[in-house]
Amino acid sequence: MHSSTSSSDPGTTGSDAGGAVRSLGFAMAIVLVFAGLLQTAALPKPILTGSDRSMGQYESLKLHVARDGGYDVLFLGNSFTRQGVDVEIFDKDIKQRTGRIVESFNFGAGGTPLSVLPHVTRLAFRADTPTTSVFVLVPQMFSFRSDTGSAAAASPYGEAFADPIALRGALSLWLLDRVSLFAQRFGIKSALVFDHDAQRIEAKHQDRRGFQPNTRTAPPPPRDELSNRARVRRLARISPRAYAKLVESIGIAKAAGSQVWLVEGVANPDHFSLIDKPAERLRDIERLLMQAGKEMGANVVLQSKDFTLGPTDFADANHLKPAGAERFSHWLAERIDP
Amino acid sequence: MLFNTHEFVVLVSVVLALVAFLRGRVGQNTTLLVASYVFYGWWDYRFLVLLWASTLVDFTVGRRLAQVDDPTQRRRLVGLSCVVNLGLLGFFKYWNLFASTGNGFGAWLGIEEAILPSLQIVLPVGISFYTFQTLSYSIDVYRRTVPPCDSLLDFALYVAFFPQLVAGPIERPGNLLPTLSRARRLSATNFEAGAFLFASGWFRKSLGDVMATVSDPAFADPASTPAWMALWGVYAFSFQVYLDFSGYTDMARGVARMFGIQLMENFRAPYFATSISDYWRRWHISLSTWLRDYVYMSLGGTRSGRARVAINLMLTMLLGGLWHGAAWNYVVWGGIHGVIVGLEGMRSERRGNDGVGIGPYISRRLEAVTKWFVTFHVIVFTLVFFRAQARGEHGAVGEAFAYLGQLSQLTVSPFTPPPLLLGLFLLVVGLDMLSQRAGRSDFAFSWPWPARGGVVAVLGLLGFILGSGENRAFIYFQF
Repeated sequence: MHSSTSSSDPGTTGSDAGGAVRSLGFAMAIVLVFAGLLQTAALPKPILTGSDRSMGQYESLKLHVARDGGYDVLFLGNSFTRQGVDVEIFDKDIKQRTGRIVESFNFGAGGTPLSVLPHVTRLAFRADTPTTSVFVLVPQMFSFRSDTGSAAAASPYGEAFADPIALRGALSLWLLDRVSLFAQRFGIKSALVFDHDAQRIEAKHQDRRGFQPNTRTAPPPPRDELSNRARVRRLARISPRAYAKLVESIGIAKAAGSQVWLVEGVANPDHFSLIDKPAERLRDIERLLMQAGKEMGANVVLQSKDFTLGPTDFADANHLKPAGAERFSHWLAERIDP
Repeated sequence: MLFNTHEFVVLVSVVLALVAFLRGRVGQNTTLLVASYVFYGWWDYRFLVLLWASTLVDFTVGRRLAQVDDPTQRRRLVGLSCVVNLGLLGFFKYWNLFASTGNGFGAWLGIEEAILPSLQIVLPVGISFYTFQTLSYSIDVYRRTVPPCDSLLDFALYVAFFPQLVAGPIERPGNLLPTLSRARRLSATNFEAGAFLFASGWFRKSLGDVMATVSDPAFADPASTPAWMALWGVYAFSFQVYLDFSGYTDMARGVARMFGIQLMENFRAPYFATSISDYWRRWHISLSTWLRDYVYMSLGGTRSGRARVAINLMLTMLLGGLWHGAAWNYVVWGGIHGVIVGLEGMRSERRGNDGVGIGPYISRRLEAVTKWFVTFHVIVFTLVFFRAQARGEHGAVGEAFAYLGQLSQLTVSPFTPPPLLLGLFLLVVGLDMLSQRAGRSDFAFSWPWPARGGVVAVLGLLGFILGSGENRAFIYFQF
């Protein structure tokens, strides 16, 4: 028959304690890395062709919607959008111009290429259903990350699996996303890359509805830096799946009843000019946008001759300074009619 | 305050930090006691009074028993403890059952008016557990198997220690009091073992909640439940109750272990049992041993003739069933088990070994598998009585029979459990087998540290994922 277990406190040797500490540390490390992964298993599978930093924005939007109700306008794009569209300026200008009050949210998610844009769009629309969606599309979103054959292009994970450097970078960013999500879920201050996201949610929505001004004070890297050249080289080719992914993203927004605007963004001209035939590349992108707009019934806004963003508007190769963001936001409010 | 909530994590973290800082017994026990009262009071602070009453009565009884040698006086003292504790339990838990049964009997005799009033009584959480725990102290001191406790602080903590306060395990004074009567050193090894148990329990509890999504619809309306749904429902419930309760126990033991306190094991792979007697040596061990030591033995145990032993056994099992709930379906459940255990006992007397033999003509392995298969299904199908609830005019026992009636019409099941669910179920079976082989719940204690860490992480993550969403209370909280 069973007898009660002994209640004696087991002795602890130094090695046992060391092993226990290492074991617990290892367990915590695994939990931190994979908690977000498993938690988001129910959401659309992230695509490893680029980073998926949209989870932080998704959580933030959900919290904002819970607090404020739904938004009228949602801006979608990559970090250019996130740092370049000041929704307060946009809303204020719309009100001044049209008399209507609109509320906007900036759902720019860092590192989003077009291949990930449908996932980001789907995620945004899980949290809210705006009446107007504005896709801000910059050249790097169209980029083809490596010279690959048709097999990689056909893979559900696209170019990343054919490009080891992109894969490693994408994986690390993807894992960091999960850590950030885990940190956000438990309200743990994250000291990692996405600290601003955790702080944003912690600060109880004192933020600017997704807009994150670029406060970088260091000067942009010089034009002839090796890594910079490698980065801009990727801008030279448009991904063969760019159009399909753009159309898919527009389709998701339209299916939710949202009016869609496609806005042409630009990279820092100083950097974009390094690629071969930059003007021709920009024309390719503009043609692509017009075609998508026509096919899907979306409004298209191209950078016009009377307005363009110059090198002084940029903090680095791809992101606007606050002053540049202000200019861009004013211009958007003139062109977009939500 | 459920174990898998943020509030509980905060409470444990704060208490751990304080206990680690306070090296002395008084400081540690005071901290734990305050935390225990906060934990219990979180449910309903009013019922702290009952906890205090039970604590004071039994502490006083214990002290007096140490001073008194006269057998009559000693019997009176332990009787007082029984009256107070069982009185509290009887009133808060069983009054309405007695009242409805009494009034029903009166109606049968022709007395139309209700004799006993039905009262709106809130059942204090954990009363079935802590009253038994304090009773075991009084009885053990009476029997002189444990010395009385001199410190009210230590005794109060023995009664109210928060990890096991509301749903066991029902501890024994010989096990818990000696640990509480000295300062404990918090160690990384204990914390790791505790984390393992907690993660394992969290996974089990969460998986039990998943099982409930299959069993709840099946039991919602037994008369109209299709046979295949009834079958899957009863399998799912049998694992739901096991995972829920063993999960809670592991979480409780895990938290206690972090404080350097080892609580008794309460489950030992019960669904591997090869007889109902074996099952009761593996299931809710703290209750079954309590009933054996304080009810069965007090009634005479095996010291009487065969008929008397059978009666003692039956009474013990009926009381065990009644302990689980103030409803006759629990008594029926206990009674069925009592009959089977009695038959097994008689059979084993003749054969000279435990359990029911099948015959000399089949191999031992096949015999073992067959015995396991039959035992498992007896356990599962009798659990219908455990789970059934009164619905409208139909009592719980009637609903149970209706459910079993549906099962009898079984044909082909169109339902296949999701592979993931089956996979997780197999994981639980695997964990039980590992525990059985290691002879302890924290079976990974001898593994290399990366493997131990990996197991803790995986179980914790699974508990987190499966448990995300609605927080169901532990089933045994209602007892």
